[in-house]
Amino acid sequence: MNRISAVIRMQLRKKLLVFAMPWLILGSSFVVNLLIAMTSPMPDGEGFYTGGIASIFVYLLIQGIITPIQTFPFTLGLGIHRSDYYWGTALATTYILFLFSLGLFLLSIIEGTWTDHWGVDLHFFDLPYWSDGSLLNRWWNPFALLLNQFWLGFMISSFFKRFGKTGMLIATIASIVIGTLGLYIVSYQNWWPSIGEWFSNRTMAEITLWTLPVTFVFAALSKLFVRRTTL
Amino acid sequence: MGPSMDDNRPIFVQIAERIEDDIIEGTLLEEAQAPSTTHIAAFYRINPATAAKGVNLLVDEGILYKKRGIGMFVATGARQIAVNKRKEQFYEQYIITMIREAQRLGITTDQLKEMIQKGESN
Amino acid sequence: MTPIIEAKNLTKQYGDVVTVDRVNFKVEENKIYGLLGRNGAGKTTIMHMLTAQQFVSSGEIRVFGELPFENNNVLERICFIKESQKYPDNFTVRDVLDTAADVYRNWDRAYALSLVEKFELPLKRQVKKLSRGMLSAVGIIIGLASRAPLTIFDEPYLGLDAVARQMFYDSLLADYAEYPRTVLLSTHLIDEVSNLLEHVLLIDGGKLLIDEEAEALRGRVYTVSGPKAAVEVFASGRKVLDSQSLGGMIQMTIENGHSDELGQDEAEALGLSVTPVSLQQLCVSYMKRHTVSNKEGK
Repeated sequence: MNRISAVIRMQLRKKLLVFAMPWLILGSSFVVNLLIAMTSPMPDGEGFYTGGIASIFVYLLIQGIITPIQTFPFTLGLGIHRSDYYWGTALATTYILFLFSLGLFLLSIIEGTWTDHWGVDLHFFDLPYWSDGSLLNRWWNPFALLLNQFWLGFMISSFFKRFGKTGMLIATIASIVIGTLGLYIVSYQNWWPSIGEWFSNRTMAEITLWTLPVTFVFAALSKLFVRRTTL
Repeated sequence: MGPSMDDNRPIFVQIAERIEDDIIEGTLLEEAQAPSTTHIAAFYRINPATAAKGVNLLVDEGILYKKRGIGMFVATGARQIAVNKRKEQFYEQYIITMIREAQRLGITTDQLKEMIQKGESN
Repeated sequence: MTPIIEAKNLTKQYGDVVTVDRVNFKVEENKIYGLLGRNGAGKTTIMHMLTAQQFVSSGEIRVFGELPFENNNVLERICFIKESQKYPDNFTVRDVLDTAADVYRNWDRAYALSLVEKFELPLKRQVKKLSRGMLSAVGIIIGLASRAPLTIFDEPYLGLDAVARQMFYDSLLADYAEYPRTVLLSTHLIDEVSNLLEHVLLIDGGKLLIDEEAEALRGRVYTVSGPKAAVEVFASGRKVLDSQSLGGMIQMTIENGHSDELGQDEAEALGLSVTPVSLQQLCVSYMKRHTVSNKEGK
């Protein structure tokens, strides 16, 4: 059997955990919000807006971190190529996240169009700005962002596997220094208004499109780290 | 490990000897099928290549022969070959050693003969 | 014919520490090899390098005639079972075996299940909840059922009792007899496996001390004991690996010079007492001598 497909099958083997877990978390957040919206409605016309949807993105970030820790040593032990592991995992994840984003797409339509915000004016999946524009955006935005979070986590984790604690420490310090320096320069040069303007002139779909090259860099770096990782 | 092997000598020699023992004692008759190397390896818990080497030693000596596609068989006259071989070994191992020790202790050949007869009558 | 494994000046170095030091050896097809030595002798590092789980510092190692790194041609034909193998936390025994079945081309599902029964493994239990011995059994089952052309076991029996270890050795022998393949068995329980091995590689301090047919090693080393003067006369001109004295008596571990020399007979003729030495004792005396000569060299 082709080894990439063996990796895909391995990544999808724990169906309940892979497919149900994040939705269970998202679902419980939704139920809590729904209950609050039902029992204590907001004053007229205000609507109940919540950021509970973020839980699934955070989940994917953590999933990205956990994945190489859990499965990479196992596959390496089975004699699977590093690059077969990488591509198998990438394909399995893309497939999972495609289904997840399709779910979020459907839920946002159910919420926004079919149930009139569950009858209690709850905005959980169908949010202003986030769900604006073409209907397709309701699929695309979560898809691009879920991928981005997964690969961010995967990159951090594979960096850690490759360079160990010291490398991680140096990288953390370096990113804090660069970040602080960047913020300082932006403030000093008084660029904040133009940055704000740039974002407000973009739709969510455009911004998520801009995450694509970033995601690509995360994924490419992950490949590099995985390729040179030993046990 | 399985029925124990002596650490001092190659295992394949010991395997050959055990098959010879079976032939001499009549548990393995002439023209009967000899145990396969797989069986020998499993029984004595030894490497199959070593078992095969022991069997091949007996083939070289004309004690076993190979029937293609079936396995190893005890040759006609194998018992005689094995007994003759053992007689030679007996001479080397016991008689020579005995005579050497007898000389050291000053036992004459006649006394030696007497001792053998006495041993037999016991 | 190309050897299954060929190491040329194989070296692994971490900073100043050399764990594998210019090792040369060949592994031929369809034989059972014992890779013997103490913990930390460099055995595991060698096995990691030949499966491309660690990188070679200098020299090279070829497996099936090719370099193993990111080489599916090589990796697809190897099954490497190691004591420290990690499994995904939430995987059950069945999940692990199913994954292995996807990976190994010659996987025999029925055989794997028969071994599961033999070792009394609970298929539905999560791997992380298995006892140490059961975890070892998982590795053993993968190693046997994979029927990989090159199967490597690195101390695969941790936590297994004597009965289960015997079950492993017996299963290995039986399956090997039916499906010959190259097996590399790394162990420090030398006495238990000595009769299974066709070839012995002994590693100590990163160096290869023995590379020989197991049968050729039998009877090569023996101990002679008796009155000091007599033993010393016998030992002069012979290779003494080890010696211990008690009062006027001395015991020496001696190695025969060439394969047909039988020092044992001569010693017995001199009235000295001779005892054979097992493969394990032989390895120990080699390693002892190696350690001593290392210290003297420094």
